[in-house]
Amino acid sequence: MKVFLTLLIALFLFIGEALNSQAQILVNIHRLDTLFEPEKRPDYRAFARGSKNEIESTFSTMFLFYKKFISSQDIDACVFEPSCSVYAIECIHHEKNKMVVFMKISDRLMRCHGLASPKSYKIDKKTGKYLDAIED
Amino acid sequence: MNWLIKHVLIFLLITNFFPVKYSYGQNLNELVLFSNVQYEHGNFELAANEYNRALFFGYKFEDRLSLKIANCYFNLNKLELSEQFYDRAYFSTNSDSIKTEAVLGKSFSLILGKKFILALTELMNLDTLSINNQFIKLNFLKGIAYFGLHQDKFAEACFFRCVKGFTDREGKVEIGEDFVRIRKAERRFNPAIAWRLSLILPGSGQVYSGNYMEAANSSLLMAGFAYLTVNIAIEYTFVEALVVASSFFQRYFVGGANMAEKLTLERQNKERNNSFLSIMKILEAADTKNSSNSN
Repeated sequence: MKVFLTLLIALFLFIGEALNSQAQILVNIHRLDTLFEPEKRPDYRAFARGSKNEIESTFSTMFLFYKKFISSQDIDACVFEPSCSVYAIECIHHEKNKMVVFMKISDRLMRCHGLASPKSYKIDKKTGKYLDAIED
Repeated sequence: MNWLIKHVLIFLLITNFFPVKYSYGQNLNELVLFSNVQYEHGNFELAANEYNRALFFGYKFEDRLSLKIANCYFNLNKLELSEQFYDRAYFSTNSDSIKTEAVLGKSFSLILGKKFILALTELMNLDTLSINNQFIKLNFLKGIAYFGLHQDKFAEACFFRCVKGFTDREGKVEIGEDFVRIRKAERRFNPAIAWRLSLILPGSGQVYSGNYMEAANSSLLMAGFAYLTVNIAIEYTFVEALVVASSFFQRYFVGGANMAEKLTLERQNKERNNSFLSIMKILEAADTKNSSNSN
């Protein structure tokens, strides 16, 4: 009985696959729909949405203008991930003390140069840049 | 006291002996049956877990079970795990059909992970397939892998063999037209030309790629920097103008050219993607037609 049941299940496993392949040969074809889709450009509007006061709104607008019209035409020179502008806007949104914001952004801008030491940072595998996100 | 011991013993006998003797636990076959039901209902996470349990406790048909687990992970989009189990199915079986299924499955996983060269390497082992369904699948996957590697001639040949397997003549013509469109788009949107054009006249590369807003943006920015340079040279000295504005000028000049190149490549890839989706539709239609005819 046990042997019969085992064989029955094995048959079920096998026939299930075989029937599946008979019904349609190219199963899962729709999973290929996004395979060669061009990479979407990052949407920076998300950074502007969290503005809590006029100062943050102003900086967010300036950030969006910079990203859309100036940074897009620039060479990829920033050595960090996220870039200095994204780091700055995140600082503005997350840090309450504006003096600390100023210090952090200045510090970041001074560290962003071609001679930054690889020993001090982890490397982002996707972009090859140094990882330097704001500390929570 | 004796009375108490006697009753405790009876109690222990009832609670321990009888359930063990007459209770009914799930065995491996039932576990696999249960997993099969879950698999059929699309509960792949649960099915994979239960199949894994059956495999761990030494179920006989390791190859078929591994294939099922691999399919579960494939459907859950856990591609690396699915590749491992397709490999396990391949190496634990003597059946040619399971080996073929495992290689085809693994190749599909690799393709979804954009590892086209690895997928092709796997598929090269299956060049002599006699069963029509597997022959079609093989050429379908090889076609996609070649397409991903930008080897369009080979991709076209594979897709042709695929429609030949479906005996769909119209499909062959349509796929041919799609590949003509791809070649046309590659000639029309050449990133190197866009880059050079932008170096000659800032913004012209963007116009070439059809992005007029980006072209205006680049031109205005460069015009602004040119004005700044000239203005500083007039107001102060030429050397000062060179020191202050030349670095900005260089950055945005090259940046604009790079942007034009990127936009053109994006446009080319968009056209490639559209053609690819069209090819997939043709193949799907041929497949549906073929399966309805055979039924």
